[in-house]
Amino acid sequence: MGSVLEDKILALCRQHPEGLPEALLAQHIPATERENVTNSMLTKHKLRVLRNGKDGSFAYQEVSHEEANKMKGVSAEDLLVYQYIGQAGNLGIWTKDLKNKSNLQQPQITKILRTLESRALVKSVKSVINPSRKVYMLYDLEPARELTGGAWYTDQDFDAEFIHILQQACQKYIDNEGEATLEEVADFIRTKGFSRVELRDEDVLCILRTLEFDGLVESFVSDDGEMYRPAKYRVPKTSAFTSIPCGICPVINDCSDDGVISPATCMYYKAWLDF
Amino acid sequence: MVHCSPQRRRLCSSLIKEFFGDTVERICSVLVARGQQTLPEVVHASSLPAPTVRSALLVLLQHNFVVPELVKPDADLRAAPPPYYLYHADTGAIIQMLRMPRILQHVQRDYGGPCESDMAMQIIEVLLAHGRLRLGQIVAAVAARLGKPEGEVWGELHPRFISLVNSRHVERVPPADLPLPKPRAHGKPQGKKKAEPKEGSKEKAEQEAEQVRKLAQKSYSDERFQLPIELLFGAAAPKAAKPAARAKRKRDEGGDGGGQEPEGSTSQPLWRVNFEEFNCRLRDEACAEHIAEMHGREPAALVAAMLRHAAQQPGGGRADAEVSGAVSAAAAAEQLAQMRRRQPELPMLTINAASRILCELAEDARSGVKRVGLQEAFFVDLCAITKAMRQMHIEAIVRDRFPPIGMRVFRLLTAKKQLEQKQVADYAMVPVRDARELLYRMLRAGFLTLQDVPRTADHAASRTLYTWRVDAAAVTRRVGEELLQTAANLRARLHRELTEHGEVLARVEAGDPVLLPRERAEVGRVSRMSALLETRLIALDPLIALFHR
Repeated sequence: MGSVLEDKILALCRQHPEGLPEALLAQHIPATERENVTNSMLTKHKLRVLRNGKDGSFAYQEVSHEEANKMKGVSAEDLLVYQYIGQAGNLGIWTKDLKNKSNLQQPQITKILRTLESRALVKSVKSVINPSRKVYMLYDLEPARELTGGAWYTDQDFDAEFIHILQQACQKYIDNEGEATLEEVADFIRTKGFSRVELRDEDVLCILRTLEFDGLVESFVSDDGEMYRPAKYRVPKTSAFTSIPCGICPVINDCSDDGVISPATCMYYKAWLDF
Repeated sequence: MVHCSPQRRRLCSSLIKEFFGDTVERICSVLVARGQQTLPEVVHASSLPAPTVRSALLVLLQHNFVVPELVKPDADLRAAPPPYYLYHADTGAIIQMLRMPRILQHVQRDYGGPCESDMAMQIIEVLLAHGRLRLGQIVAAVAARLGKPEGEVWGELHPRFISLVNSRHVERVPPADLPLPKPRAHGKPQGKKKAEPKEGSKEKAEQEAEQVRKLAQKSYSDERFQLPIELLFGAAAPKAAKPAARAKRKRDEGGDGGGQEPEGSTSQPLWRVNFEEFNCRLRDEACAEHIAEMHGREPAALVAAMLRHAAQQPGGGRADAEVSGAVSAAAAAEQLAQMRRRQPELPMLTINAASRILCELAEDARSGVKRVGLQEAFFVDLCAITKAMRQMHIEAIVRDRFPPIGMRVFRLLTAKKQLEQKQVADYAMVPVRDARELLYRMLRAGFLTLQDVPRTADHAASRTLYTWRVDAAAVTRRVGEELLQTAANLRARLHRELTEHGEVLARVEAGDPVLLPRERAEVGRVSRMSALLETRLIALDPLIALFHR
């Protein structure tokens, strides 16, 4: 009897992969009949309960066979922590937040996390924003760009070299083309395969903005929208001021005629005049 | 008077000391450090004997480095004190001494052929060396320099002097009792129009004094470039009653007011170099060079022609003007054709071509050339071009002084106004740690400013946002002061090198034929070093002019 009902409930769950509402289940199976069966299925990790945030109603969702195997022998506290981690999605959750939400003690949470990690149910990810914080998320999820830093980070480290290569490529393309739109530059970068991760238009826009601030390209508005071209106004290559040691002197503020640092005895001047 | 920073004071002292000696330098330093002073005050502050102070002050007045101001106490008072003079040090005029090579170069370029430019240069050189001279003294000094009789020099000098006055390169010395322009509060809003003050009130007296001041200034501006009638009608060479130095000494005995005429000699005015005109022309040249770098040769030549044309109009050619006068494309093309006669390397442009180029320039908001309404007339925004030039030089300094991302961060903050440290790192695409180090380094060097935005009234650091920004005015001021410091440093180093090797240099100067190879090498090395230091000092002057305009 129980097995027949279990199969019926699982069949209904498969028809509603986003979650079988309690009210719909009640239409097919009366509460008195299903009460024990659903409890048993929940204990065996064949079902999970979801709660609708709007009206507070419950819904049931089938747990896959592999997942059920992984969850075998998991305690109620473990499950609670697992659910909070699941709710955090691909942004992950910090242990301190887990402690606040679950009202469990820190050592207990640490132990639970170790268990869940050993069962490959959750994983820890380091955030590029707060490298000292480890956040937890479900094992199968891909960490969000906010956590990994997107294309600009490799193994949590800022990849300045990669950015420099992209800058050079973008500048060369604009110099060769004379004028180019963001989409054209982005297509060029994608087709040349500079990056292992997919670069979005916004990522290429960030690179173009840095080129603008470097004074190498400039943007202008044309009939085709915003376009980029080599900068007309370039910073002079040499300056009469910085070609003198004082122009780049790190201790110019401490320099005086009768001080320890003085133009008459300046080492930088000596090196400059010694030709 | 210009605000006097320690750097400016040091450079002025260094220049005066080199050209006029320790005593004059001491008097100048007193005036620069303490502001306007009467003669007894200067005597007291300098701790030098009164006659020495008087002579030193006269040297400074003769060279236009000190401006006298006649103060007339209220004559209505029962026991009114006699009028007295206040002396102001004009640090701007002292720093102009650095500009002398460029001024001579400009005269040489502006006056075409070698003979013509020779005489124009002689006149300007004589005036630069003596400060202020009567025409007769100029003739005598030029004749002495050329080793020719005065009568022979006069024929060539006469037309050249007239053209120098007509082109405003040379001006009459203002009378010693000319009231100085009243200082105005910066950006003071215009209040409501006040009612006419009552007769006999303090306000009425001030109003009348202001009217007298304006009248005196107008009277001087009317005769500033006026040539004596006898000069225009080809009179014979004026006699230099005494050599310049003797005449000066004689004048010194007459009174303590600079430029005061002895009895009976008012028919011969004193003349001096008009630095304002030279500064305007050099500024216009710098603007044209900037346009040439940005837009090419033809637009630059047109802008130069526009500026020249506008300066020749009544009221044009002012050093403090923010924009030039309006010039039509036809007038600019015509002016350019006139300029080509002296400078054949300038491009030739038709009116249509000039109009097209000016329209293109006016369409580019950053070019500095703007259209007057919907008319076919254009003007040059000198203020905008100067600002753009300063910004470019500041960016070049930032690029050379900081790591490569320094300029990116500086330009980013200039464009975005205010950003937090994290935002700076994100926009500039640099690691947060690198951004932090760079920001604090630039803050220490005075290129960035840190602004705190407290979120609570207690201003607790943990509840305060810190934003970074570029204070353009402060950076400009700082770079300007650093330029003055650098000029003084170059001069100090040059002085040190020449002093250190003074003995061997003196022997070379004396024509000692017996020099050891080591000494010959030493002389060669000192010559190379002094040439380098002097060249860099001349190259620095356009930047000093740009940042102290």
